[in-house]
Amino acid sequence: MNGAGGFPHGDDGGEAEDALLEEELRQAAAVLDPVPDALRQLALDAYALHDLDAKIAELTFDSLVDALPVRGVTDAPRMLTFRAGRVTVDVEVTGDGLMGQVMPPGSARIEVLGGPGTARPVTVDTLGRFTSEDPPSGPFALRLRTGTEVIVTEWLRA
Amino acid sequence: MRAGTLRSTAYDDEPYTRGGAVDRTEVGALVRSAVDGDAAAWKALVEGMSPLVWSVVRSHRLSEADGRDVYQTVWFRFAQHLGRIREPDKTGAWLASTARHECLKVLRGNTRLTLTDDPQVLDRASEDRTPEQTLIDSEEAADRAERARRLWQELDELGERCRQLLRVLVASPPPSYVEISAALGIAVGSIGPLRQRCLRRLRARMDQRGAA
Repeated sequence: MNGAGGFPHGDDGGEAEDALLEEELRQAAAVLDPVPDALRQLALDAYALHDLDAKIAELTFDSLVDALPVRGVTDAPRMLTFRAGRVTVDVEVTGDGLMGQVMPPGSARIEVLGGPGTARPVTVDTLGRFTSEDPPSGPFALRLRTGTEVIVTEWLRA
Repeated sequence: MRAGTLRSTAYDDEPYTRGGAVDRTEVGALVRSAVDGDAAAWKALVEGMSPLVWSVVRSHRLSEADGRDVYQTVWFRFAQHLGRIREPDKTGAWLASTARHECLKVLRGNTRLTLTDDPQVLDRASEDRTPEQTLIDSEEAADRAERARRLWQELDELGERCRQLLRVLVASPPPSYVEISAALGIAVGSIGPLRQRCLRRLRARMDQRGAA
C-alpha cells in the first residue's frame, strides 16, 4: 500500500494530509487526464492478437538503441533484427516503406500487421527478401508463415 | 469489477477509487484466465491496468500521437506475450516497464529526427474534452473542479521528477511501489521519501496560490 514507507521522525499527521492530497490528485487525474476511450477500446480489441500457436520473434537489434548515432545523419533508416530460434528477420524502415529479408533464405508468406484485424500481405521473393511501400504508421509486427510454422515479430513502433 | 461502465465525470461517484479497480492480488489469476481464452478476464485487465499504462505515457510528456502509439504498442505486445509472462502476478510491473522503455525509445527517436514538439499536449485537459463542464451542476462541484484544475496546473509546474512520480502515483487504482519503480526506473526505496517531498511541495504551492 502507498504510504507504507517509514517516517522515522514521528510524523505529525502530515502523512494523513499527504494521503488526502494524493487522493485529490487521483480524482483530478481521472477527470482531467483519463485514458481516451478510443485507446481503451483498442486495448480491448488487442485480445485478438493473443495467439499461442505463433512463435514470437524477439527484437535482438534496434538501431535506435544499439547503434551509435552518426553525426549529421538525422534520417537514418531504422534497422531492426528479430530472431525466433534459427529464423532471423532483418527489417529496414524508412519514410518510403519497409524492406527486409528472412534468413535462412526461403519462401515464406509475410504480412505486415498494424493492429488487431489489420494485416497487409507483402511480396516476398524466393530468397526471402520483401518490400512494402507503405511505411508503418504506428505499432506494427510482421507475421511470417513458413512451410511449418507461424512466426510473429514483437510489436513495436517504427 | 464494474466492467463496461463509462467513466464517470462526477466527483461524487468515484468508480476509479472503488469498485472499478482490479485488485492487484487478482491480476495473476486474470492473466491465467485470459490465457485460457476468457475474454472477460482480458477486459478486466485492460480496465484495471490501462490507467497505469496511460500514466506512464503521460508522465513522459510524449506528443499525443506518440503517446497513442506507445499505449497501443504496450497492449499489443502484452497480448502477444500473454501466456509467456513469467510472473503473471507482476503484470503491472511488466506493463509499466514496457511502457517506460517504449517512451524512452520514442524520445530518443525524436531527438534524432526532427523535434516535432506538440505544444497542444500540455493543454489537452483544457481543450475540447472538458468533462468538468458536465459537473458544474452545483457550486460545490464547480469549486472542486476548479481546485482540481489548479492542482493539475501546479503539478505540471512542479519540476520533472515530482511531476513524473506523482502522475504515475495517482493512477487508479493506486499502483504498487514495485510498479512505480518499473514505470520510472527509480529504486523502490526512494519512492516513499520522494512522494512525501513532492506532495508537500505541491501543497505548499497550492497554499501560496490560495494566499496570493
